[in-house]
This record gives sequence, structure tokens and C-alpha cells, in this order.
Amino acid sequence: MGDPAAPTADAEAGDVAAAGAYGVDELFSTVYARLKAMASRRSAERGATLDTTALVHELYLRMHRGEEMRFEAQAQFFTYAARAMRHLIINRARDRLRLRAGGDLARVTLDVHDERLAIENSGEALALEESLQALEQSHPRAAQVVELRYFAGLPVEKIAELLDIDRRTVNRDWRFARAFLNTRLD
Amino acid sequence: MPTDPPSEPARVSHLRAFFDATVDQTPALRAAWIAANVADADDRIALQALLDADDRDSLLDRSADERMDGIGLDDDALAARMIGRQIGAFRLTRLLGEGGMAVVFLGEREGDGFHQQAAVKLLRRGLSSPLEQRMFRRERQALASLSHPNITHLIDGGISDGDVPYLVLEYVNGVPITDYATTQACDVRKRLALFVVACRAVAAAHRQLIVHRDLKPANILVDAEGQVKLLDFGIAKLLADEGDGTRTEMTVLTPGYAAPEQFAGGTITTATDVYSLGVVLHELLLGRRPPSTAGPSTGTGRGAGQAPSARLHDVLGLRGDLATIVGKALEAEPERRYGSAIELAEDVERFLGERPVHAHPPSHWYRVRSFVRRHRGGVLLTMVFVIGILGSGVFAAWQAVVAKREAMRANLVRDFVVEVFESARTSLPRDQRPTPEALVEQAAARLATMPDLDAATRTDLLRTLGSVWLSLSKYEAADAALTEAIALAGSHGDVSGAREIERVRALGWQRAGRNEEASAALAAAIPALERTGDPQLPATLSALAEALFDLGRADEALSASTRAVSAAALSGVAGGLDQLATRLRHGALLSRMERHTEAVAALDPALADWRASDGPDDDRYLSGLKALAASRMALGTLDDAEAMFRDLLALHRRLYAPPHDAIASALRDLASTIADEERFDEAHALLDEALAMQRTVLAPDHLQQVVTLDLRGVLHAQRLEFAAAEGAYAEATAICTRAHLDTETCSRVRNNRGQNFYRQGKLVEAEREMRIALAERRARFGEDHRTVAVSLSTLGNVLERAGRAAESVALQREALGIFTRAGQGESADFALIGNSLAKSQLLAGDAAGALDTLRGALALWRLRMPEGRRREFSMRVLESTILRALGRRAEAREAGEAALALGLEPALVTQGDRDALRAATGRSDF
Repeated sequence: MGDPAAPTADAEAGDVAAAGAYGVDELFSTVYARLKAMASRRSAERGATLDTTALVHELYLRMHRGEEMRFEAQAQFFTYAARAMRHLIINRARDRLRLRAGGDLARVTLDVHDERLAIENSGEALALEESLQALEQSHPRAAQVVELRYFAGLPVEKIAELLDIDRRTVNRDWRFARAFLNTRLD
Repeated sequence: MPTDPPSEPARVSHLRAFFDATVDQTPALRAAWIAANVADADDRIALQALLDADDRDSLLDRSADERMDGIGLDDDALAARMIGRQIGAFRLTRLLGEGGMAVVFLGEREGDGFHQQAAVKLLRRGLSSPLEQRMFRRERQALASLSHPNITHLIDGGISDGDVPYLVLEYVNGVPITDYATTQACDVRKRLALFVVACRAVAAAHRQLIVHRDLKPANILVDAEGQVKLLDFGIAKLLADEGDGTRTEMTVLTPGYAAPEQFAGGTITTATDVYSLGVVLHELLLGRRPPSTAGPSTGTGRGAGQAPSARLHDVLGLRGDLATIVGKALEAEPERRYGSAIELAEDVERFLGERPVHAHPPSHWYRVRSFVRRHRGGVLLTMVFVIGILGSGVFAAWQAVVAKREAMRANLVRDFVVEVFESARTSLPRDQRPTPEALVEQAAARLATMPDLDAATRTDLLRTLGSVWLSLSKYEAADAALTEAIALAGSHGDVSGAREIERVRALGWQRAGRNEEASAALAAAIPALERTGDPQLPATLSALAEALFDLGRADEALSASTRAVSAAALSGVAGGLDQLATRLRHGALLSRMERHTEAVAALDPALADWRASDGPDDDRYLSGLKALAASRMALGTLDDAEAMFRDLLALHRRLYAPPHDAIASALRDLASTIADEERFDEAHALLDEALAMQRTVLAPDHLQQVVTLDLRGVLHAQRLEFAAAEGAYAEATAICTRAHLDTETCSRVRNNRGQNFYRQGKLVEAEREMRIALAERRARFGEDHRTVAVSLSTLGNVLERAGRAAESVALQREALGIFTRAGQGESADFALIGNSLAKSQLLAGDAAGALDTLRGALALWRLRMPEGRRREFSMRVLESTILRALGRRAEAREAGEAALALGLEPALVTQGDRDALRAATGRSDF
């Protein structure tokens, strides 16, 4: 998978290559594997229901049982997967910050450096979430591009197909979104 | 979603165009383009900010996976950090599971001889705004009120240190219903029986308009005893509400069990739960979920043309009726499903009983069902109240809405009904609510015109009406409605429902003063409530305690009330209003038992907690406040009694619609306070109003009437209207005898009656009545009680008049000793007994001792009752008499003049005092 976080001018060329390299199935598998990796931080044996994550599993399994692979189902799979990953990150970040707020630092097993980094990462994840919500209100499509690209890690080509817009527009949306988020984060 | 001011989206949208036009240009071209095309200065600044931001590093530059790694918190770390922490009363011991919205731990607590386990849910979202916190509390309250043996109940909930909202729920050690059926190799009948239990539990929640939203085998457990327990009722909504309404559309649902409308972001209703139950039933019967149940891709799955039941028939070989039942529950359109879980349960029961099921093949069914049948249960309940509130004019509009088959939003509906009930249970000032009387009358009238209702729905409605009538102190109407509801519930085999309504009816009896029946019924209800840890247990015990006390069974009453407080501490939401309400009732009972020091100790902190938790100024709060005032008065530690009772009366008048027994009590309390200051006309007017109300709303021989009559007697006696006073006392005593009321109130009436005889000079009758009262009080309270002291003192007065001086002095001293030991040595009553002792001492020939005693009493009286001129007058006259006996004539005249200077109405001066004054001052011009 290409780095989803490199909005450079030559992203377009790279994404075309990426789309060629991945079959649809492979793209599914990749996104699914990433989601599982993120979610597997919670032990499956505890029987946790992961809401959206479970939904994505369900969709994925259904698709791979050979049922009709419709376009809407694809779009939903990626949309839900992206949303699930977004939730996972934000939940983790909240848990982390809450642990700190709880003040029980005596129990910290990580060293101070890691702790500081973890808090910083969590804070940034929450800040990103907040500005992304602002973007959703003024530019819903650009926010969707961010979800699909940043969280689901889809190539531009695939996003263009899913949202039924051209690649150039996807890139523009991304670039605008990135600048917009930056101004909100100042 | 919060809406920005209109200019803002417009600005961002053309900013986007500016941004696209300039972002790829060289700086020079960019500047020129902006100068030529962007006129508005604000736009330029915003655009420049965006362009600058484009060049900077972004949080998006670090990938999502890296971000996740950087946060570096996995399950084990999370668990390791939370285990051992204290949340509410519980210590977290083990991670049970984790969802997108909450993390669940096993919590444990140890107490005196008990060990309790609970599931502690820590919510992930914060409750930053007061609105969110209020919504959370309100929801929590709704869940706490959900009481059913097959639904895990909410034990506690709140916001812990670090602002983490949490819920503590009953912990169930069980397995999913489907696993249970498999491992126990249950046959179809057994499976269906389990399913019916689950359905009935869901239906009970629906009656309170709480929708589960996430029913699935993992939430329907069966424990080792084979008991079905539903988990997480209403939690989905609690978790999903973000307060600002954002991103709720996909937060909590379980694919495979969620109804199509949940995927589509549609309206969630009770039918949503019916769908999930349908999936569970399918899985129970066939070992798997229905194929291609609605999923996120609503277009896929079952063909639009084919009804689910037909496919179940064809493909799965389910027996006809069962296939029809499952099919109907699984209809994609909510309005084609069973309208409520109870209908589903009943159809399954009909199947089990080999009776024809109500579900028909869909095409027929859809045409023939009347709309009422499709909107049963909670929704119908609401409809009745909609009609009640809005009146018939709006009814037409409402029908039009129904005609359009717009699904009613169960949650809105529930909130709405909750509001109706809240207004009916008088938690709002009267001027701010629709009159509940009119509302209930209309609802009842409407109910009578709906003969087609099924028994379950009619039962619900009758029970609801009964409860509302109770809150309006319309006891007869309530009794009639509830009795009918019990019969109906019994007739359709709803044993537990009937038992619950019987309990509610008994609560009504207690309030109406039918204490014998109430105490028997309440005592009978308690074992079952205890077994299930029912949240209604504390209120039931409190009511039992009050009934027992009114029956004169004080020890049992105190024990029941104490049990209520401990039950509330164990089962209720910690620090929740229900728990505080139980403490307030306990305090009020202590106050009525004349255990004033304990009452104040119980009431003061409970009332403070009530205010601290923003509790409403409702009936529960007022009763506590009133009891506190009464106990403080009795202890002589209430400074501005009249103002306090006036405030209380005003609050009561705002909260209740007259006639109401609570207003009557407040009127009487105020009358009593005013009477102490000898404003008799005012006091009598208040008492007349109170008595008229009580005769309208209470049972004929209700204790409250005795209380009011007693006070009327006291007032007449104070005005020297002895015959009138005897009338009131005789009526009150007659009620006590007729209704076998063995209570302190009746003893007080008897003593007061004796007092009245004494004033009329009928010393034999007086001594007779007072000795009866004294014996009753000693039996009730023991030797060392304030009321015993009052009896002793008044009896002492009678003996003094009869010339039995030594006996009298002994009695008065004994009375004062009791007061002193009870910490009431500074009260007004202590002063009055002092006055009596002085009289006895004088009679016994100890004039010097009498003077000391009297001067102490007078000083105390003036301190406590600066407006109490009539008593002060008598005391000064006595002072003058004692001084004359001591031969200090000048001082005696002074004291007499001081009495006259009080300007007491001549009508209030007794003949004895008149004679004494004439002797002391030589004047006769009064």
C-alpha cells in the first residue's frame, strides 16, 4: 500500500500505479488486515462487540463468501472501515488521556519518554478529530476524502471511483482539507 | 448539528474556489490574482491563512497506523491501569469486555456481611456540557426506574473522578440464550418458552418506552438457574447520544441483528427491537440467523417481492405458524412487523397453546389490521396522553399524522410521557404545567371509548391512570382503576403484572389512610421485591413503615423504615434522588415519632444532599422540609417558624391542585404556627380550609382529620371557647375510637380534651382523660419521652386545681426532668411547664421557690415566643399573685400593670386572672 499521507504533486501518478497493482480483492484484504491489526489490540476472546468494526468484518466475510459484490456494498465496506478506524483511534486516544487525567501515574510502566509521546499522539489525534468534524460541516466531501485516504488508506484512484468524481478533484479535496485542518490546528 | 451563522458556509465555499485557483500558482501570480479577484479583506486574510497552511506539516502527514502505534495503549495496558481503581462504590477487578463506546469491568464491593459483584461500564465519551450531564442523569433515572425480574437493573451511575461517566449494572453470570439452548439440548417448546420470557421483558421496557436497540443473544443471557436476563437495556441510546447530535448514525448496532431502519439511519421504535427478537427467534429455532438479513447494503438481501415468511416456509421448512411469526417479526418495513414485543410473545404463546396465531400471511394482514393494532403498547399509551394534553382540536391533526403512517419516535415519545408524568407528579410549579386532572379525566374518557383494546394494553392504561390519580390524591378513582387493572391482568395470566399493580394500589391505600389493608398488602409484596432486588423495595418499605406507624405499631414501623434506608443504600443509584427520598421519608417518620433529635440528624444532611444534586422542589423534598421544621420547632431550635411555614404553604399551593391533602397539611402547619402567636381568626380560617379539603379527598375516618380537629380544639380552647373545643375534641376522639387508631395523635387529642375539661373546671373528667393519655403514651414511648412529660404536666395542673399540691409539684418536676434530659430545656413548652410548677409550688406554700421558677419560665417564654402575649399575660398575673403571697405588694402591682400593658383583648382573660389582677392592682377597668 502506498503511503496515504503524502499529498505531493506526484501523488496522482503513484496512485494510478497503486490502483493497477491492487486488484479489488487485494485492496479489500489490505484494508481489512489493517483494520484487524488496529482492532486486535482488543483481545477477541473477550467477546467484545466492536460495533462498526464488527460490521466491517461482517461485510468483508459476506463479500468473500462469494455473494454478489455490488458497487454500493464496496463503497459501504470502505466507508465503514474508514469510520471504524477513525473511531478506534479516537477511542484509544481518549482512553489514554483519561488514564493521565486519572492521575495514577505510579502505575505507569512505560518510560517517561514513551509516556510523553503517547500523550502527545493522543492529543493530536483528538485535535485532528475535532478539526475533521469542522471540515465535515463545511466540506463534507473533502472530509470523506480524508476518511477514505487517511484512515482507510485508499489510493486516489479508488476514492475517485467510490465518490464518482475525477482523480484531480480528489487531490484538490485532499489538499484543501489538509490546509483547512492545518488552519484549525493553529 | 450546530448551525453556523449563514455567512460562514458561504464564505468557506467561495474560499474553496479561491484556494483552488491560487494554490498552484507562483507567489507573484498568486498575489496579482488575489488583488484582482478577492475584494473582501476578511476573505483575503482567510485565503492567505489557508495558503500558508498548505506549506506546513500536517497531522495528516503521520499515517493513521503510526498514530495508533504512537498512542501505544493496548488492552492489557488499559486493563492493568484500571484494575484496582474505585468507581462509585465498586473496585474494578477484571476487564469483561470492550465496545466502541464503553469499556466494561467486573466491579466488586464488600460490605457488612455482603459481597456484591457488578458490571461497571466506563463510557468513552465525556459529558462536557451541563446539558449533556443533565441528559445523562435523566436517562440514568429512566433506566433506574426500569424494574423487571428478567432485566438486569441499574445499580448506580454517575461521573467519577476524572470526569468519566459510568454505569454500574447487575452482573449476570450466564450464557447467551442460543448457547444455552444448544448446550442444554432444549427442545422447541423449551426454546420458545425461553424466548417468550425475553419478549415479555422487552415488552415491559417498551411499556416504559425504553427501546433496547441492540438485542442479540449476547444481551439475552440465561444463568445457571435457567433464569433469563436481558442486559444493557437502553444503554445503546445512552451511549449513542452525543448531545450535539453528531455522528450517531452508526455508533451502536450489531450487524446481523440490527433492523433495516437502523442501518438506514431511520427512526428507532419498539418495532426495531421486535426485528432483533425475530432474528434471535430464527437463530433459536434454526441454529443460524436468517440469511442475508438486512445489512448495510439495504438493496441486497431478501427480494422486495418475496415476503420473509414465504421463504421461511419454502427454504427452511419451519412449521407454518412459526414461519409466519418469524416472518412477521422480520418484516423490513417496521409498520408491517408486530407493533410490540408483547404481541410477538402472545403469538408464540398461542402457537405453544395450539391456538391460531394472530399473524397472517403478510398480504392479508397488512390490509385488515386496524391502525390501533399496529400501534399498541407504549405508543398507544402516549396517544392517550397526547389527546389528554392537546385536547380534541389537535386530535384531528394527529389522526392525519397517523394516516400518513409516520412512525412515531419511541424515544421522543418516551421523553414526552416522562414529562407528562413528571408534571403530573407535581415536580413543576402548577402554573407551568397542563392540569393533570383534566389530562387524566380526558385520558380515562378516551379509554372508555376504545372497546377494542386487548387486555394487556388496557391493563397498562388503567394502571397508568391509577398511578396518576394517586399522585393527584384522587384515591377512590385510583383504587377503582387499579382494581380493574388487577382483574384484567389476572384474566390474561399476567401474574407478576397483577402483583405489581396490587403493590401500587396498596401504596394508594396507605396514603388514603386505609392502613390495615395497606400494611397487609405491602408486607405481602415485600418478599418478592427483596428476592429480585427490585428498586421499588425501599419505597414499598417506607410506605409500610408509615402504615404501621399510623396503626400504632411504632416498633415495627421503625424497623421497616430502617430497612428501607438500607435497601435504598444497596439497590438505588448512589446519592440518587430515590435514595435521598427514602432518607427523607425515614427522617419524616422519626419526626412524627417525636424522635426529634434523630429526625433532625437524618433530615438535615438528606435535604442538603437533595439540594446539592439539584433535586426538584417536589412533594418528597417538601415533606422532608416540613418534618425538619416540625422537629426543630419541637426542639425549640426554629427561629422564624411562621415564615418557614408560609413558604412551605406557598410551595404546596404551587405544586398541587386543590383540594389536596398535602395542601391541607401545610395549611394546618401554618395555622398551628400562627395560633402560637394567638392570631386565632387567621388560624381558624386556615383550619377550616384544611378540614374541608381533607373531607373531600380523604377517607371518612382518616387520621389527618383527627390532627386537624385536634388543632381546631386547641384554638377554641385558647380563645376560651371551651364548648366549641369540646365539640372538636369529641369528634376527633370518636374517629380514633371508630377507626381503632392507636396513635400518638389520638393520645394527644385525649390529653387536650382533658385539658379542656380542666379549663371548664370539670376536674374528674379531666383527670380521667389525661390518665388514659398518659398510660397510652408510656406504653408507646416509655417513661422518658417528651409526650409523657406533657401528660405529666397537664395532669399536674388538674391536681393543682383539685388542691393536691404535693402530687402536682412532683409531676411537674418529673416533666421538667424529662424535658431537660431530652435536650428540650430551652423550648417554649419547658417554659409552660415551669409556669405550671410555679403554680403548684405556690399552692404547696413555697412562694419563694415559685417566684424563681416562674421568672425563669417567663424569661424563656419571652425569648421563644415574643409574640405570645396571652401566655405572658397569665405568667405576669401569676408573678403578681406570687409576689402578693410574699407580701411584696408594690412589686405585685408592677407585675399586674405589666400584664395589663400587654393590651390583651378582654375576651381572652380568664375569670381567675381577672380576680387576681383586681386584687394586685386595685383596678377593675379591664
